[in-house]
Amino acid sequence: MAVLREASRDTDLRRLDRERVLRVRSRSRSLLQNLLLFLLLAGPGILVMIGDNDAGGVITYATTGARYGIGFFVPFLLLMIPVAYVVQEMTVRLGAVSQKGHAELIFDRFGRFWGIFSMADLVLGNCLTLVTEFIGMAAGLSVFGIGLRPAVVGSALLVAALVSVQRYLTAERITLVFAAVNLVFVPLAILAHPDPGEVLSALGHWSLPGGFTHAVLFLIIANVGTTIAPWMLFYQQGAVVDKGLTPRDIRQGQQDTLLGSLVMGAVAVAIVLLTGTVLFPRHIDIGNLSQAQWAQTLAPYLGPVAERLFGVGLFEAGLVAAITISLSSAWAVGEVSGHRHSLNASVRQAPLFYGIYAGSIAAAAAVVLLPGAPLQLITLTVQVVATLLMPPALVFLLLLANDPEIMGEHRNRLGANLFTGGIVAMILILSTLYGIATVFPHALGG
Amino acid sequence: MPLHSVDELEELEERARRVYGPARLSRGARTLMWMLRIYVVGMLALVVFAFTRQLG
Repeated sequence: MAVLREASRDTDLRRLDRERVLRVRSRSRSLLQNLLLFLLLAGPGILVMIGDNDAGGVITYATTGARYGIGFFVPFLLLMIPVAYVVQEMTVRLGAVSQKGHAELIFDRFGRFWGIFSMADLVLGNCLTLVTEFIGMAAGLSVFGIGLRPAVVGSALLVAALVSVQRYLTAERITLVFAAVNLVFVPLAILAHPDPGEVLSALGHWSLPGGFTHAVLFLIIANVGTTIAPWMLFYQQGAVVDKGLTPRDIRQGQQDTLLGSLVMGAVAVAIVLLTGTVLFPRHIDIGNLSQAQWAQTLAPYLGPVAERLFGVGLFEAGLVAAITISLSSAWAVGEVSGHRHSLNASVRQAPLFYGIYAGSIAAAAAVVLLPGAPLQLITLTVQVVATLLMPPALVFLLLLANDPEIMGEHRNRLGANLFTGGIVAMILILSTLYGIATVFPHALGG
Repeated sequence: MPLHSVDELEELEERARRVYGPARLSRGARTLMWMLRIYVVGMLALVVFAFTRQLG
């Protein structure tokens, strides 16, 4: 009997969760019941978006604000909110309708070659990104006087401990509590006292000090890369399936994604406002700043509390992203290998799933502890690589979301197709410009 | 457990068990895939180039 219970643990837990959703759904449609239903079904959308505001992202936004102020990048980042929403919303529908992860659908529909290609795309991006998360967590903890080795080892143990609950809903709720700390950058931006008039003017003028150069292009690509990335598609679809969302839950999944996009955008803008207000006007040289030094650089202007808040935010950004990115790898490998892949399964039921999760964390932590690794360069390059790998991932997403056999009545509308097609075109143009600027460094006046 | 819950779960499990065969891609979509392949190889080469140049 115990063996039988073990064998069906994930199914039983999912049944329990669905039962709770159905109970709430069957009650009256009052505002309170709708809110309760949303709270039960929300999670994947918020987590994917907060995970996207990762340690590398925080540093990318901080660098952007410190180098170019708020004139161009605040409106640019606001524009990225609908971009993130439209892309991620498709994964909600795909997951809820097909009950399959993203990697599995690509293998099924486009064959082995493209399946392996997408996996390689995902694994390459995830490996590099995970390294930056550990750099970020260590940098955040260094503000509190914790050394590199204990910070990295402790962070790795914390990330690993989260899945030891072996329960999707519990792991999701704990991660959501951590994710709420991402909002710490909003009071930090307020502490910086940005000029409201200047912010409003930035929204209208989109001015870029120094003109359009190779460095600006690199930062634009990095900012796009920190807003949409391949791992996000695999994560959210995997989470939607593991949580057991059905086509009836798509609306709440969309609301969850919308809320996540808005929070992500608000935090991104807050960081650019923070460094754009404090560092940019003072022409502070941020060229060789390590992640830990960012917090120290803010301290003389905003005080020690701001330094600690920045440290906490950086740690949280790395932590939530390390969890979500490792999960995206574990779900994808489980899907394509046909092995059990659920946070509701026990370690004995899904050894590969938990092995990939733990293995990727251990590998990334080990790289950070390697002496002489070019960690700062990796941090910015990761976002660029993520953007360059995005067009193929978006094309597969579009083809799947338009697949009538899979999606039926839930397939993409024309508006979503045109918008996503526009995003692919934008990224292709940016990448081509980046390519030209790399081969001919002075072509863009840089 | 209420019947509707069992029905819904069975429907979900049926969806999860469903195996989709290879998609029938149009010629345009196949061409697009090849263009993407060339794009990715080219862009990765560029990133490696830029990365090594920065390191140098």
